[in-house]
Amino acid sequence: MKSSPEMLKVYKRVRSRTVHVVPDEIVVEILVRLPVKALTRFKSVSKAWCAIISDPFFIRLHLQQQSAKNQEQAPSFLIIPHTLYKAIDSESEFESVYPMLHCDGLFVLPTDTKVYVFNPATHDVLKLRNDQKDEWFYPTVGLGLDLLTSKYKVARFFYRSLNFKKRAYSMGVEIFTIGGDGVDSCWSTVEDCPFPIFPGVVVYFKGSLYLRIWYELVERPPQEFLRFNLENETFSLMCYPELLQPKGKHLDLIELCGELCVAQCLAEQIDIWMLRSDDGHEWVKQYVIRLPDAWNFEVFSVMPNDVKIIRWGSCLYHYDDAQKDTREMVRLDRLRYMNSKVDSFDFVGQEIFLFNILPYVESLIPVTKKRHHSLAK
Amino acid sequence: MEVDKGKGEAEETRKVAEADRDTVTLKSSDGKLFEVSKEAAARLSTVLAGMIAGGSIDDNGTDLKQIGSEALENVVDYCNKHANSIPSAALISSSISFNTAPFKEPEEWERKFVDRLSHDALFDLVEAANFLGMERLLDVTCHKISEMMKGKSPDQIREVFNIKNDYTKEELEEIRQELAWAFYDD
Repeated sequence: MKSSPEMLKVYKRVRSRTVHVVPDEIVVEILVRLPVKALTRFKSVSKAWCAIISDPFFIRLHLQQQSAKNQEQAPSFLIIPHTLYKAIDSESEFESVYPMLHCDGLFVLPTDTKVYVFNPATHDVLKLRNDQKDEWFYPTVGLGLDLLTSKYKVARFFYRSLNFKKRAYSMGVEIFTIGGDGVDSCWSTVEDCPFPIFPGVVVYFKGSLYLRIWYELVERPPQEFLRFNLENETFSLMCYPELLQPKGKHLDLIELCGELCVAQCLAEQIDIWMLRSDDGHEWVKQYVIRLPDAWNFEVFSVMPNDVKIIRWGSCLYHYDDAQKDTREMVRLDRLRYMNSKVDSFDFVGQEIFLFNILPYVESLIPVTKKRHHSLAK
Repeated sequence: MEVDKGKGEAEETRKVAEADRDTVTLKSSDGKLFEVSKEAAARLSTVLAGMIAGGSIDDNGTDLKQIGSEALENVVDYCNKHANSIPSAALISSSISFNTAPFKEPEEWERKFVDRLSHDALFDLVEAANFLGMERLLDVTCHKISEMMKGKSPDQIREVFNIKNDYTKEELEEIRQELAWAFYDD
């Protein structure tokens, strides 16, 4: 990037002939294309710029722009290396973590003590109060947008009691609204879940959380997914694709190309069904991935040229059906990370035993109230 | 450039002479005249499309008082180049349609087109594109400016955009402390 002071000086001299101010609407058009770090820095340009960058409408516009960029060009992921108790000392706030979920640049991290919501791009972290009355285990924690209020909600599904042999259980559901007024800033209990939920599996898609039923706990389980609508906080059932082989094991819900998909793993192939919203909400068999050991793979992302990104262990692969080509794309355990303490790149090290990797889109969405916002007014 | 004659004839007779012309003449704030293909102007600019459809195009030069000759020359140049360019595979691929708003990266020729512009010319072109409702040109120019802004300090940005710092020293220090991580190098 050229940013020579000479260039700027020349520019200033020429500009100063006519005092010229770029209109706000164009400033917005330009800023919306910038990454979060630059935008955060530019809050200190002027009060007007701080107000633009902190405006909820701008934040949503910026998110749309970033999402489109991810789909048009290259998808982006957040990689979370896990050590085995290495980094956890006696002062740590938690001992174990549960699966994370991403929504619009925000992550929810459930632990054995508290639930955290954070935005890695803005360094914003919200620690949710842990004031539920019930003991909870086998938790499933989801995060998503309530489309009516445009507020993000954390939903916690948990077992109060569970007897596997007797198929007896009691499930609770609690909701936390982020950025709500004082009244909302605690967990609220909603109606009990009509079916037992398979722990740790949850997908957010367009205003709802999708969950899997824990079949072993139900005598005659319906061949359906459970949908929890974040707007009215109620459950409903959603059918599988009709043509799907019955009792197919390994059914995964994923979001691909901005549509809800079900991946079914068969012996040597993975079928991907897409709920096409432009096609009368029909399940369509969109892709088939043929590989000798298909069951080892997890489908991650589909690029604009129809190349799929699939994962096996700590390795990501390119899968190109047209070219009959599968090749290694990146080994997560061989990635080097910027270590800001020593200002150089480091390997993650030997102690890592697994990597979480989640689709990610950078956003400005806040989870806590910022002090500097009051300055812009 | 071939215009859609069928449509032209179907229209009322009042603007027959004009509808038969392939080009429109545009007049800059400083009185210079530029010719541009009617088809390209209507396709790339919602404002010009509206003027052409509404018959408010002046044969002797349609006045665009808000746009200087340099910027208008660039606008016309862009229209001509656009008409001659072959859309890339990405633009014509009939892959499934995604749900998000379309965001297309600048094409190679568009990159070159904005790269040769000075700061002044670029900012004038952005405003011209905005005024004429040229969505694609606005995309390409805004993209270029945002690329130039990455890695710059707030001081440099104030200079480029001619903005006065209206924070007090204390307020600025408070922001810098709260958001210190954003001020390190990218």
